[in-house]
Amino acid sequence: MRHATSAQWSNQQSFVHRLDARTKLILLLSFLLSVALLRAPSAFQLTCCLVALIAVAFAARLPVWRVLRASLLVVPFVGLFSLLVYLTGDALRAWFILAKSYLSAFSVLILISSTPLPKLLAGARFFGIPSFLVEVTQLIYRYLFVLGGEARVMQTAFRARGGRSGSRAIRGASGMVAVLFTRSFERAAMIHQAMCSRGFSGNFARAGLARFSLREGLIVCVSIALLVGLHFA
Amino acid sequence: MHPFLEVCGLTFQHLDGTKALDNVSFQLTGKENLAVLGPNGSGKTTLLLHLNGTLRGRGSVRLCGLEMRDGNLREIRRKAGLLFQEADEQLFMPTVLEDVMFGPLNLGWSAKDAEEKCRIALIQVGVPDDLLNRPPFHLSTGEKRRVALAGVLVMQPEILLLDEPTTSLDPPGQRALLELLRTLPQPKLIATHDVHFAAALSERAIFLESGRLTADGRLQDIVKRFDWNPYP
Repeated sequence: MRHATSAQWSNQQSFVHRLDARTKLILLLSFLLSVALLRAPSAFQLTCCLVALIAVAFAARLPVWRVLRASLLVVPFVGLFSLLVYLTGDALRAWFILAKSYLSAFSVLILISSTPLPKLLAGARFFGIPSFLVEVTQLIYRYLFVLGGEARVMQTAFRARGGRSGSRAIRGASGMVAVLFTRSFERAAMIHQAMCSRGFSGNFARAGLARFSLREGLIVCVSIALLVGLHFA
Repeated sequence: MHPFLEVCGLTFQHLDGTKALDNVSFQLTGKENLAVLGPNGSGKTTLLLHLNGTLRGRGSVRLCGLEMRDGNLREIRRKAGLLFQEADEQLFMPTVLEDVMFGPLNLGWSAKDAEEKCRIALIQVGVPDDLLNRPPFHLSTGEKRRVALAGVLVMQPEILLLDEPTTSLDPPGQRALLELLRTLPQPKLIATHDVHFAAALSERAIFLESGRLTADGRLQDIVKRFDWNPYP
């Protein structure tokens, strides 16, 4: 998924988008845990999970087919492990690993596509993820795409001057990486100066989070009850 | 009575030994703007970074009666609003609103107060409401410049330090920025190569060459003396 697409999806308006990021994080963790704890899930249980996720994606007004397809990205990573299990003679377990991984990837993608990153990070911080980690993620998210843009400009300049694939391209690419590294370093210094000039003293001052509403609490309780119920289905 | 801004014998050397500023001295009253002219690498940006304490060199800088020292840094940085040449370097938070709120929250304002003031600053620079939750990455250059300026104005600065404010702006964008800056009452220091933009805001200029201040006087005289008009 490209940055523009995920940012566009996560800034839409829907019931799912309006939910507190903390609620969504709790629901995601509960779902992942629930799916992981299904030792030998039946086809009915797996279908229930898939239908529930599709319903959430619909409610979030996401292009369901595209999200379903994007979730397939997990298959090459888990596929190898799944294949090894299959070769040991446990075909059913191999299939379970694949199905559970796909469902997990689908649920994570729904969360990312329905929650703007700043809200997601604020929620993560609420659950005790170290501030430093959250702030670094925030800055990486902001500048990764700026640097990506610079890399694309350099690539265009390379092609505009007759650059082609081959050994020269490898030399050119290594030069580009070096230039990008230097630019990143210089940019980091300038960003730090910009932060200091607006009173930064080493810690990000933050606006507080909204209060957790009764409605959100109710949604969490009902969803967890349904997930527990799934284990007895 | 002290001048509004007083720079005396300011000298700064980079780690590689290059002298970026060499014994720079000038004064500014609270009622005038000042254009900072000079070739690339002459020390214009370095000078601006010294005026709000982001860089510290030898010599003295006094702003609004405050001596540049550690104890005054917080207040000096609030009073001297610095607009960077590259808006992308100034807009580092994930959304427009959060970026503008960065400064006020660092000053210890409450989140509610900060958001209220930020919304006013964003209206002042003409940023529409629907951009508030957008990542700065998705804005146009003109919009980025406006948001960066809002981030500076929200801190209620008493002087504006503008580093190449017209960089990458199209002519309507430059005109809009000029009109906006004219409405702001604060004295302004404008480091720029754009002589026409500088002349529209300021009658006085200083000229830097290799970190040394080589002229201080009427902008038109300096432009003539250094043959600094690109289209004579």
